Amino acid sequence: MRISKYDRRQIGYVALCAALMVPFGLFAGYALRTNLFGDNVWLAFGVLLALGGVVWSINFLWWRSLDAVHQQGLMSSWYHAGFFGAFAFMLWMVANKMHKSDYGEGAMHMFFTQVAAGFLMYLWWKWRGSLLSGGKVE
Amino acid sequence: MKNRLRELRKAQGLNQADLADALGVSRQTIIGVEADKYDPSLPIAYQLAAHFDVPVEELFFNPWRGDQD
Repeated sequence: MRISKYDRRQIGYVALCAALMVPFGLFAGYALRTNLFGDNVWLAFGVLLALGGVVWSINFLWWRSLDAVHQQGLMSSWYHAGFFGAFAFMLWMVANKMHKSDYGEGAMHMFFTQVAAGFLMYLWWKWRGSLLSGGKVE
Repeated sequence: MKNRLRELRKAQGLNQADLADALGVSRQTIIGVEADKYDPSLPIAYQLAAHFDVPVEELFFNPWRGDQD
């Protein structure tokens, strides 16, 4: 099977991301097991966020390497199917009375964090749009 | 958006993978645009038009103009 230049580039980014993600995961596991940061939650969060941010930055490079139609397909899939999947799972938890459990609360936190982050990004997009037009309707 | 992409591609003897490779886009993008499942971004539309050396409106039909297909 022929692999195009475009696909090779995607494979390269996925391989690079995996190559960074594995040592990051091992380090995070080691830090947790050995209580590396003690009780300093903010230090642990800061270090993991900084290291995770480096891995995450590969994601941006990968995203920029995608063509516009591919991006559109991914965004549409993630937004519509991703959110509906999470929503359906929340309903499943409620139906099973799992939403009050630790597991259920963790899942709810994850879902609402994602919604909040998406909403903030959307506000940024709206604000940036009005900034580009100088706040004027021409 | 209806277009002549398939016709122009075949006239050059290219398959979808060849064209995708030449433009540096995914094969799914070429398939989607040809099948009128996806509207390409302006840069891709212009990139395609430049590849076939035609104006964009000869490649993509403008549905808001009555004098075209």
